[in-house]
Amino acid sequence: MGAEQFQKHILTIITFLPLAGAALIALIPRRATTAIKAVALLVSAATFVVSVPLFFWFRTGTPGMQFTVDVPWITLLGQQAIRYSVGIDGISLFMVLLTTFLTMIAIAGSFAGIKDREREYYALMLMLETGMLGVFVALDLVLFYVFWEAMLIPMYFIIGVWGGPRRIYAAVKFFIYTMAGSLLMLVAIIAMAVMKYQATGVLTFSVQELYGLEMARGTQTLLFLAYALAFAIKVPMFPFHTWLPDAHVEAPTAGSVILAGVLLKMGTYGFLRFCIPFFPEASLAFAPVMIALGIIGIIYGALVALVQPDMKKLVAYSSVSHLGVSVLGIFVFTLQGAQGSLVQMISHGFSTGALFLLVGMIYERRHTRLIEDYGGIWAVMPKYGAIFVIITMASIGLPFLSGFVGEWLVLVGSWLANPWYAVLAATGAILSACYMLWMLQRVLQGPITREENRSLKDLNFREIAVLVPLVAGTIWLGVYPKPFLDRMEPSVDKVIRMVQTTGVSSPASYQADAAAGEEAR
Amino acid sequence: MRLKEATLLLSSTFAAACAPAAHAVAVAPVAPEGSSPTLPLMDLLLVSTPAAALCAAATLVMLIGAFWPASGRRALPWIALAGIAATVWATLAAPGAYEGPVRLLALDSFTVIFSLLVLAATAIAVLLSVNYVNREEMARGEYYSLMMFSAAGAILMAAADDLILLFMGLELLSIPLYVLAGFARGREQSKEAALKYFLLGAFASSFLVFGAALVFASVGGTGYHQMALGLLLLGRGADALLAAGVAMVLIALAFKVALVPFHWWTPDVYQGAPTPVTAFMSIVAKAAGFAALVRIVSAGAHGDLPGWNALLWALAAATMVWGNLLALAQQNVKRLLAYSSIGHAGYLLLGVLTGTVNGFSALVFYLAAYGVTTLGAFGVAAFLAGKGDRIETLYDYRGAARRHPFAGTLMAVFLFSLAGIPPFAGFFAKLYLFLAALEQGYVGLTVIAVLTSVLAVYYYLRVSVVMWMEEPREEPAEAPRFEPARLSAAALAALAAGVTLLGIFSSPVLRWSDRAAIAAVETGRGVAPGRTGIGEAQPSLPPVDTPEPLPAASVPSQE
Repeated sequence: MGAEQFQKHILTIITFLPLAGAALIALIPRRATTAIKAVALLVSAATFVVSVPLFFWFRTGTPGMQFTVDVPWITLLGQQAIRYSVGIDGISLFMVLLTTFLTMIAIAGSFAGIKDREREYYALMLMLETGMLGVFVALDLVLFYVFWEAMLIPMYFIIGVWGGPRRIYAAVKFFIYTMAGSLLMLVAIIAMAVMKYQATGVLTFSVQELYGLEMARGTQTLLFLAYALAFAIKVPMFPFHTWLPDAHVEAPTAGSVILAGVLLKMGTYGFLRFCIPFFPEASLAFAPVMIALGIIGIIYGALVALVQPDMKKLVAYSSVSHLGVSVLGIFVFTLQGAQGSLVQMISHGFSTGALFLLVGMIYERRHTRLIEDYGGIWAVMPKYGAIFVIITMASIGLPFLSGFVGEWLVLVGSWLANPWYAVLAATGAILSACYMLWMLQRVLQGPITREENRSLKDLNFREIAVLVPLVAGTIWLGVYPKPFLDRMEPSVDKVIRMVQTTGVSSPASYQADAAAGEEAR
Repeated sequence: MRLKEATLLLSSTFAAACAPAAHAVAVAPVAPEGSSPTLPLMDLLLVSTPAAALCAAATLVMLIGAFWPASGRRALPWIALAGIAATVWATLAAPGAYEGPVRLLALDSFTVIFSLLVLAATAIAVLLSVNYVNREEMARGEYYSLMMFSAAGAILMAAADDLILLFMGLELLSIPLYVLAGFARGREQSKEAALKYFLLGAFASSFLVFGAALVFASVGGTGYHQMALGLLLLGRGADALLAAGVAMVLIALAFKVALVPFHWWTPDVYQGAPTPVTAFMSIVAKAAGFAALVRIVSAGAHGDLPGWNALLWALAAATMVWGNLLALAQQNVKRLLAYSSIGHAGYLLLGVLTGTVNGFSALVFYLAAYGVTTLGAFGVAAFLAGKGDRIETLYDYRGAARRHPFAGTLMAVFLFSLAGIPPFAGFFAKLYLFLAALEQGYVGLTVIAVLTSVLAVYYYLRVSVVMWMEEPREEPAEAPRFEPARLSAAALAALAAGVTLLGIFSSPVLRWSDRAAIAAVETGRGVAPGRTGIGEAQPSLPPVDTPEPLPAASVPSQE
């Protein structure tokens, strides 16, 4: 395959490479666990390596879709209605990279924790990766929906088979919640296609072609709500967040990493890619509600995290709080807010992923996650302590670490929209310092309170190798975010402008830009 | 004794198979204008090709089963499969559209494609039966033969263009099914299933006969086109007799496809019947009933009867809600699947309700997807149950996937497809159905369908929860054992592959289902006044791989 062909089909290769790996793993004998782990890690690493060129080949300064492939898939009513259509812009680029990066880390982080039915586990992890990547690259609504739902199956099994004591409850709740939200979105997707079909005679599910679909205000509101419900559950926004603590606490470590690192971002990504561009007027009308829910999420999540005795639950609720920041950044409809939201999504992937890994590593040693069972362990685990501190600081939003950039941009963006939003959101940032530092203090510092903890072994080479890339990521994003911001700016700006100029020619210009972007490639 | 039984059964089913001919003889003088007064016997044979060929094959299987020495019985399923293959050949060789004086049956793409669907389902059911009937010690010639006769009845129902022929198809479908449901003679449940099915089925049949009589009394004929014409002449809902007759026909078909509130027999019969028989009837009987409904609706035989749409709407909503709600409470896997099949009947009714080519096409696709899936799910259940079908509750299934990852994976695939989760066929079937329904503006019903799917997800998940996530039972002797012979295992694996690929590569299947739907609509219209014959339909099936734009009359052209 020539380099040009490779570049053209790079997204397809990235998306389906893990699935091929899963098929390969299914062929390995059940007992050859070392081979299974090796293949899983190699395939996920290969996927990451293949996805890295995206970052460099990506053309900065254009909002359109790049690396596009668009071929007919399913013929419906005599038209090539459903298409295999993929591509990325400045928004999905980082989601794809985050997914390939975190899946590799999560697989490497599972070697010690997963000791049962490894073959199924690693095959499911790779299938999950294909599902997640598909969600971020799909430009056809049916294709998107297929990945969006198909991804639930592996995650459901990962939580339900390899999870904690209440894993079944958590897995079923996770599945039903997400499914219930997305089925109404399916009706909305079909309804949009039907409206377009009845207006123009063309049956299409293409995202780009459905941008700017004319519809009555009432219809737009209903469809917006159907989409928003699906994404709000996924994020999860208050009051749809109740599945999250259960799923996080019961999931195996790698499951939590993927859940927090990638799955939650599908909600915020969905808002940016579908909800807002499809329904700019309804988005504007509902912005106060979404902002209010976002701020409630920030403060509520932080307050609940403050009182958690269980470290994993604390991190889970901190996710609710951090994703609230992301939602706030999107719905204030300023460039800084939306960019900050995206950076916050990436940063949260790094820092929360690392936190779940850290909690998992200590759990593997002591089989407890309760904060009170630890205390002063920095003395026996210096490397662990050092990484824990850096990651916690990143999560709080200390300058020069990733959390700062995202939160600061969101605060600036929301101040521009309404200073009160920024004031309330800043409360959440302060609270996050409280719960994180308090946990840090109780777990790491002071004298060793339990005798069992004296014999704790510090991180081994594999564990450090798993954590260091995440630490490096948070530092890079915190110190030099320019490469990230440059790449996302035009695409984010496009979405924001569609709302700011609601109804006025924005969809058409979006399509024109998309075409220009494709030509530029 | 056995010989006598077989001969009796044979003669009665053969009589049922020959009945269309007898009926044709009786009604020949009143055949449509322009036809010769002689018997259109050759025409009749031609037009009933698929059903007649299958009946002949079934007769052969029954004779071999009765007279062959016991050692030869091992070959019976293969002979049955060969018979089915021959029928497929005959069906494809027959002209795709028939233009002649016989208007009792239609031989169009709809019939042909439905026949292929039914034949494929029958072949798979035979494959799934091979080990099962040996295990349950009920390997006798009648078994396969009855299945084939029943399938012939289903084909007849899909082809029928006349209430009397519909009735014959229904009986030919049902009578062998009554026998098959009670085939596991050692088990009380099986006997109970047979009796229950027979009593309620006979009741439903009588509704059909009475409905046909009322229709005859009001319009002087029983052909669908005569009903349509009668409705046209009599004006909107002017005739209470006709309305009552049509309603009774609907009730009979609702019994057969298990629409709420005519579903009471379903759980008991599905649970009690031998599992491969359950698999067979869950798709074949349903397909036949819906095919007949499509024929009636597309012929306009329901006319503009006041309340028809409201009635179907209510039936669909009730069926979706009730079927899925009751499935939630089930502990027995076969019973759970039975209630789920009721829920699916509700979704399928959505396709009938639209009354459009798109709706019918989606319905045909849904039936294909549902057939592959339900055959697979019951197939896995059949082999997990162990000898005597003792292990079939969720409690017994605990941890089964740890022992049998293959069975666990297959079951998960089938159930996720039934639940409508992509990338499996069930999702795409729902997608096309909802698209057709929303196109006709049935937003409320689609939302009900979607919300009941959430309920459905819960009980489908429970099966995978117990199989994958709970610990196995302590006593290994009682634990589920999954030991299908290679043949059935291969059939199940092929079904799972089908479920996975049917949706992702649905274009070829959609092309066929579109063709079937167009043919049904055109045949329906063709016999209405002002139209000529059914010659407009496609002369024969095109090769699958040539993409061919559909006629502009039914579907808007591209761009």
